[in-house]
Amino acid sequence: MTDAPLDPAERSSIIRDSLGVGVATGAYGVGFGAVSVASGLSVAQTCALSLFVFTGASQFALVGVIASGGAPVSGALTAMLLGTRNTLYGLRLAPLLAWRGWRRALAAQVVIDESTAMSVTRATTPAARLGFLTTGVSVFVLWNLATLAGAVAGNSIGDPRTYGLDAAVGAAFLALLWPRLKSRRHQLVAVAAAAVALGTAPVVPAGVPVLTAAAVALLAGVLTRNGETR
Amino acid sequence: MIWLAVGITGVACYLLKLAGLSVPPRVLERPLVERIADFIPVALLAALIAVQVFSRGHSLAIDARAVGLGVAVVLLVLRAPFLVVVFGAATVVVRQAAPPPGPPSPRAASSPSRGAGPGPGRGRSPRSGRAA
Repeated sequence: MTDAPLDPAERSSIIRDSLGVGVATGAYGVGFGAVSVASGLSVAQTCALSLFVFTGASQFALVGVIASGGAPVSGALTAMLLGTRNTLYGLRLAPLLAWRGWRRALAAQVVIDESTAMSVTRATTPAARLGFLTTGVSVFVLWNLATLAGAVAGNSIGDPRTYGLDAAVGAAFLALLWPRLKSRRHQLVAVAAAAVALGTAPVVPAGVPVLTAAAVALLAGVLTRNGETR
Repeated sequence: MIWLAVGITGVACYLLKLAGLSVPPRVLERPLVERIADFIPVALLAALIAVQVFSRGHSLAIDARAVGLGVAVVLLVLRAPFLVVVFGAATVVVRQAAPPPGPPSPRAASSPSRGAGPGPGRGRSPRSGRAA
């Protein structure tokens, strides 16, 4: 990785793009805050999730499992499985960002979909760091503020079912899933996983059907060994 | 219990992120691991949708939440932003399900009303509240 300094035009273009992504993503936090308190979490628990978990799909998964009556531990396991993709992002980012020690420990918290997307394509370490930090920090700040706003608002409007917020949980998951249905194979995995979850729902404890669906991902990964083109 | 789950999830998700930045790529960067990691969010999110929308406790159910999901699909096809999808689905379900105590919006009468709507609250006429 080269360490060539950034020229001012590149610098401002990276900052502008990253802030745009940060603002757009951070605003989702309103949806998370509202959905989380509708699922039965307190405002403090909701804000703790955004501060410490800080990876949207995992947060939605935890509150979604709790909302459907599952054990919180099943929700935590689901959230962890969803969080594994951040490990792969980190693998790609490590040589590019080239941080060590406490900088690496701090940077780890903002390794998410958006900060990865805005840095992994950069040609130099300074450009990658700028895109990563601008996106990561702006999403972090706005996501947490928006979570608080959504949680307080959701808390003050009373029984969530009256306001359809339990339906919003499904819509939020669908919006997170939608961009991932890029190939026929991904669509098949989604349909099979949904079928497995619904098939097991009547016979296993709540929260477990979602975990059994992870087996579909394992199976699909093993079975598609030699057919990347389809 | 919820606090415990919040704590476990927070620590685990942080360590997963840190591991990626710290572990030598050779340990995890394998085609099989990458494919499975690519499929896991798809499988889990699809399962979460299915359970969240089509089950109640241990029984399967089709109710207002399914209508909300249908609305979400339409909004996603129309490329609506995330918050519009989430709150749009909620709004339609509100209009279908239980009319809030206040006067319902005039548009409620023209919103798509399916025969298979949810039970409680549907008996009320959309106009009954407007006199208030």
